[in-house]
Amino acid sequence: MTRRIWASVAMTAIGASLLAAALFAGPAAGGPEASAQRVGGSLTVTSRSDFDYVDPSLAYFSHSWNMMAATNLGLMYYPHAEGAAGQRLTPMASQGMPRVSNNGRTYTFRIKQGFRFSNGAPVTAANFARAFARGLAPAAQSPASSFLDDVASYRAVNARTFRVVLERPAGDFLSRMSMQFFTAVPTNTPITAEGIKAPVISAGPYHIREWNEGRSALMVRNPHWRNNREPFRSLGFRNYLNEVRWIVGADPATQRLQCERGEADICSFPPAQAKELADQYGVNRSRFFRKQQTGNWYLAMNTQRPLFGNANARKAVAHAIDRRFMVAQHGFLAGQRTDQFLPLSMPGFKQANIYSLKGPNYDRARQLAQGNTGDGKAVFYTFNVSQGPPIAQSVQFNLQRIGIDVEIRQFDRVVQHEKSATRGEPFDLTLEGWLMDYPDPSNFINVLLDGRRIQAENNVNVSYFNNAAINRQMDRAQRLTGQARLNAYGNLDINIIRNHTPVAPYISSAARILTSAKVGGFRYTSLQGTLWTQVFARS
Amino acid sequence: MRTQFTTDDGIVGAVDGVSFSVESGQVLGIVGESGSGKSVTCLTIMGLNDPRATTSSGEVLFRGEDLLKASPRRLREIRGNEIAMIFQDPMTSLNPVHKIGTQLEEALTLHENATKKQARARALEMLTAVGIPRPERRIDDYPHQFSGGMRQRVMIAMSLINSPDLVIADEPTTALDVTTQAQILALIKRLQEDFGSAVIMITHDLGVVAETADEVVVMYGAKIAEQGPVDAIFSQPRHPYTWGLMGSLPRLDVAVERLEQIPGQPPSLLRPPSGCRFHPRCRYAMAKCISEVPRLEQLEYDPRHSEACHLDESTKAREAAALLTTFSEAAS
Amino acid sequence: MFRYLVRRLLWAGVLFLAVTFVTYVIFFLVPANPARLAAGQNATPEHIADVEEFLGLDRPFYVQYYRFLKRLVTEGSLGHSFLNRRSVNEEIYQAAPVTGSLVFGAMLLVLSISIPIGILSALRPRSLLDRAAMVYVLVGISLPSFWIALVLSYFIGYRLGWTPIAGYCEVLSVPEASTCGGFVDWAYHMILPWLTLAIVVAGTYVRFIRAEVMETMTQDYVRTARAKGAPARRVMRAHILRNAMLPIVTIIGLDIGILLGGAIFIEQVFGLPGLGTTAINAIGQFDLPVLQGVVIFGAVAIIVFTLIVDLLYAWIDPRIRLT
Repeated sequence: MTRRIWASVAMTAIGASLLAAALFAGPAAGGPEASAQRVGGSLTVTSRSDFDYVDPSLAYFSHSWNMMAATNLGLMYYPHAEGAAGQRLTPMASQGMPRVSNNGRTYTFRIKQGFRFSNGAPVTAANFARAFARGLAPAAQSPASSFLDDVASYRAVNARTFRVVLERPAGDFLSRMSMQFFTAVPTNTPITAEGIKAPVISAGPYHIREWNEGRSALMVRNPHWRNNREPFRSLGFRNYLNEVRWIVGADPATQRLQCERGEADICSFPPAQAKELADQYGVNRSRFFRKQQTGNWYLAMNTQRPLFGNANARKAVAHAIDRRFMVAQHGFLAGQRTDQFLPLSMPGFKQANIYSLKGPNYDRARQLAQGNTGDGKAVFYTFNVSQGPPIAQSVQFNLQRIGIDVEIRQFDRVVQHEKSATRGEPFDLTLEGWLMDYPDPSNFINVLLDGRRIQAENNVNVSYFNNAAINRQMDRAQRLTGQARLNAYGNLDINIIRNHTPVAPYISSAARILTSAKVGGFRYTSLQGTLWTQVFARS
Repeated sequence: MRTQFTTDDGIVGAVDGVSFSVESGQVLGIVGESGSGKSVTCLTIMGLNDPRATTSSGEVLFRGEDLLKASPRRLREIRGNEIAMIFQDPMTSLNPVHKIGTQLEEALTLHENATKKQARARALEMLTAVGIPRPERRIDDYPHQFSGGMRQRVMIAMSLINSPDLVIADEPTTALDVTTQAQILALIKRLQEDFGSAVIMITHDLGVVAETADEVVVMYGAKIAEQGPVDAIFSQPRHPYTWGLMGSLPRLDVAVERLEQIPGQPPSLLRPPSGCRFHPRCRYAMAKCISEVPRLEQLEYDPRHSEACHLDESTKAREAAALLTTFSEAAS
Repeated sequence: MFRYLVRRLLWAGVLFLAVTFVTYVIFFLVPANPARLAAGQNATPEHIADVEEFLGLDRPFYVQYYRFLKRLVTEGSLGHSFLNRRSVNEEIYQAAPVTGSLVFGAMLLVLSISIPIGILSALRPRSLLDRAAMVYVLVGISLPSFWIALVLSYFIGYRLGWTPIAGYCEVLSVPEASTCGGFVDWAYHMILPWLTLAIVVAGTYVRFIRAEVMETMTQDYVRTARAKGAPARRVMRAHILRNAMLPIVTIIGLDIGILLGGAIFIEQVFGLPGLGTTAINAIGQFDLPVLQGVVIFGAVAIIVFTLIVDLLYAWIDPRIRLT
C-alpha cells in the first residue's frame, strides 16, 4: 500500500502521526484512570497531513481510516480494544457471522436492525450495496476496486439481507469487509471523482460535521446512536468524547511543544526526541506511549538477478546483517528485532529463531556465501532520508565481510519505490517496509511474495520471488479459515524465511505517540490508531 | 577666519586665516583653484558645514552680528532671507521631485507668512525677473524639464525672492556653456543693481572676476595670496600665483600657441607645505619661502591692495610688467 | 502609458509561459509516475492505465502542456490535484490569504522597525546605535529563517507562553472545527510568524535605508534647502526622506511579490496553511497540478507586483517616464 508506506516513512522520517493497528504486548496503557472518567469534552489532534478524503470509497490514508473507525459502520469490524480482543474479526452491522455457501463463494449477511445514519435514516442492505457500487464505479477511480477484484456479483436481496458472490473462495474476504471502503453509505450518495465532502452522513457513533480541507476537521456525535441499548451496546464503544478536532499542523518539533503546552492533545514529534520524551514521561504511563504496529522493514533481494538468484547467497545475507544496529537506526523504541516476515503482532505469527538477532553471524554467512556470490558485486537501492542511508551503509559493511561489494544508490523515497517496482531494474537489494491493511497474514505473504502477481511495473513483490511450490502453499492457506488458516500461514512464514529467504526482515515496527495531560484512557491499536470511541478528556 | 575639518585622516585646515569684507552694493570676487578654500569660506559664513566635523574660529560680522556665534535659530532666520546662496551645479542643487514653483514658494514661506496665492504670485514675479519665458506654465514643471541655464536662473530667483542683503554665488556659471555664462553673469549684475544687494562671487575664472567684481580676493592653499580692487589686481598683480592665473588665461584677441600652466598640484590641506604654500610650484621660490609663512601686507603705494609673498617689490613690479607686456605684444 | 501597459502585459504573458513550461519539464524529468501513486500499490497495470487516462497522463508531455494551457485560458482553471482531486484553484484561494496575511503583516513590521533604525543610523554613523544596528543586520541576514522561527516558538511560545506556539485562525467566517477565530486570535497567532519574517527581512532594509539616507544627505539640493533657512525637520522630511525612500518602494514591491510565493520554513514551523505548505506537500506527493498552481501564483504575484512598483515609482518620481 503505497500511500501507507509513504505515510509510514514520512512518520519515521518526519514524525507525521501515523495511526495504525497493532497488538500491544505490555502493561495496561492509559495512565491513572481512577480520576474522573467523564462523559463529554473534546480533544484536539495535530498532524502533518490532512485526510486525503472523507469519502469512504476514496480514502486510503491511515489517518483518514483512523477517523472513519469512529464514524463508519461496516459489516464486519475489529473491536476497538488493545490486545487479542482487537484482532478478532467480529460482526458489526452483520447479525452474527454471514452464512457461507456455495463452496465458500457466497456470503449472505443479515443486517441488524436499529442502526441509523446521522440524519436519522435507517441502515439497510442497500447501503452496503451502494458502497460496493461506489467502489467499483469507473467514474470514481476508487482504490476499493482492487479489493473487489474477485467479486462476481453483489446484491441487496431485501432491506435486511446483503449477498456477495465471489469468483473463487477467499479466506480473507471477511477481513476485507472490515475495510472502510465497504461501510454503509446513504443510497443517494453521489459517485464523483472528487468524492463527497463534509458534512458526512455516516452510521457510526460519530460523524464528520466539518472538514476544512488542508486545515481542520470536526467530528461530533451521531445523534441517533444509542449506546445503552442494542444493537449499539455490544459493539463495546464507550463514546465518552463529544467532539474531536483535527488541525493540520506544523512540523513535528512544533507539534511536540504544542502537546506539552496543551495547545493540542495528540501530536507527533521528531523521532530523534523519542528518548527525551521517554525519559521525561516514562513509557506507556501517562503521556508518552509505545504501541506495537503490525508492520515491518526488510531487505528485499532481487531473485531475478544472478547474485541473489542463488538461495545460499540470500541466506548468507540474512546471517550477515547486523539487526541490532539496523533497528537502532529507526530510533528509540521504534520497533523490535525480528528475522521473520510476519510482524510479531500479526495473528498466526509463530516464533522461530532462524537468524541471529544479536549481531552478524559471519562464520555461517561465509560458509553459505562461499562460491555462491558470483562476481561479488551488488547494487543497493535506498531512500535518502532518515534511516535509509545508515542502514544501507551498515549492510554494505556487513556484506563486505563476506565478499560482496555493495554499491549504494540513494533516491527520493517515491523514486526508489518506482524504480524497484519495475521489473528488470538493475538492483540487487532494496530497503522496504510494509504495514498491514487488516490483520490477516495473507496481507503480507500473498501480496508481497506471490510471484504470479509480478507485472512490468508497480510491483510490490520487489524481490521478484516466484516459487511454484510456495505459490501453491499460499493458495492453500488462503482458502482456509480460522485457526487452521493462522497455523498454515505461521508455518509458511517460517518456511519461506528459512529455506528461500527472498527477504531479510529486521524490525517489527512500533508507533510512538505523545499526548497532552488532558487525554485519559489512551487506547491505540495498530489497525485503527487512536481509539476515539474509548478515550476520554480529563477536565 | 579659520575653518578646520576633522576627518579620518586628520585635521584639514580648509580656511586658514582669511579676512575680507564686503560693502553693501559691492561685488567681491573670490578667485582660486579647486581646494583653495573659497567655497568653504562661504559655507562657513552661512554655517552650512557639518557641525560635527567642523571647527571654525574668528569672526564673521554681518551688520555687526558675529555669525559664528549665532544660535542655530538665528542662522536659519538669516539664511535665504538676509544672506542667500547660489550654488555651482544647477543640475543637482534643485530637488528633483519637487516642482520648481514649490521650491520657490518654500524659499519664501520659510521666512514670511504668505498665503499660497501670494507665494505663487511672488514666485511668478521672480521667474519673470530672471527671464524665464512663460513662467505661469513653467512654474509647475520639475527641474529635469529645464535646461542648465534655466535652472540656474531658477536658483537665482530662489535666492533673490526675499531680497537678501548679501548674495553669495558659488561658481554660478562653471557648469554652464559660455553663451549661457555670459547671460547669467549679466543677469546677476543687473539684479544686483536692481535689488541693491552685496554679492560675493566665487570663481576660478579670472574672466568672470574681471567682468563683474569690484573687489578681488585671490586664494591659494586656504590662505589669501593677494587682494584688492579689481583694476589694481589686473594692472598690477603682485603674487606669482596671480601671475600664473593671468598667464593661463585664454584670450580671443591673441594667438597663443600653448596656454601656460602653473606646474604642480594644489597643496594638500591635511599636511600643507611649510612656509609659503605656493613655494613648491613657484619659479621664484627662495629658501625663505620654505621656512617662513609670508604675511599679507598692504602695498606701500596702494593701501587697498595687499599681497603675501617674500619677493621684493622691485622683482614683483618687474615680473608683473613683463607679464602684461607679453599680453600687449602678443596683441599687436 | 497605455502602450507601456500593453507591452508589460505582453511581457508578462511571455514570462508566464516560460515559468509554466519549465515547471512542466522539470516535473516530467523526475522518474516517478503520479498515476501509480494515485492508483495505490495494489493496483494492476490496467488499473494504473485507467488512472493515467483519467488524469490525462497517458498523453505525451507537450499534449498535456497544451491541454493545461487551454484549460487555463478558456476556463481559468488550474486543474485538479492528483492526490485528492480537489480543484487547484480552490486550494490556491484557500492558501493565498494565509500567506498574504503573513507577508503583508510582516512587511508592515519590517518597515516600522527598519525605517526609524535606518534613518537614525544614517544620522549618527558610527554611534552605538549605528553599530548595534549593523550587528543586528549581519545576524538577521545570516541566521536561517527556520532557526529563528524555532527559537522564537520555543522560547516565547513554549517557555514563556506569551504567544501561541503555532496555528492559524480565520478572521471571518470562523469554522466550527477550528480552535480559535476572529481578529484578535488571528493577530495573536500571527505575532511570532510576523516577527520571524520581519527579523529575517528587516536587516536588508535597515542597511538599504541607511545607505540611501546617508547618500541623500550629501546631495546638493539638501544643502540648498538648508541654505534657504529650512529647519532640520523640514529638511529631513521634504528633502531627505522624500528622495531617499523612493527606491525602497521598488524593493518592497519585489520582496512582497517574492514572498507571496510562500515563506516555506516559517509556514512549516508555525503550522500556517499557506502556499509554502501547499507547495511542500505537493512536491512530496508528486502532485503536479497543485505544484504548478503554486508556481503560477508565485510568478503572477511577482509579475503583478513588479508592475505595480514600476507604475508607483513612475508616479512618485517625476523624473521617470514610462516608455
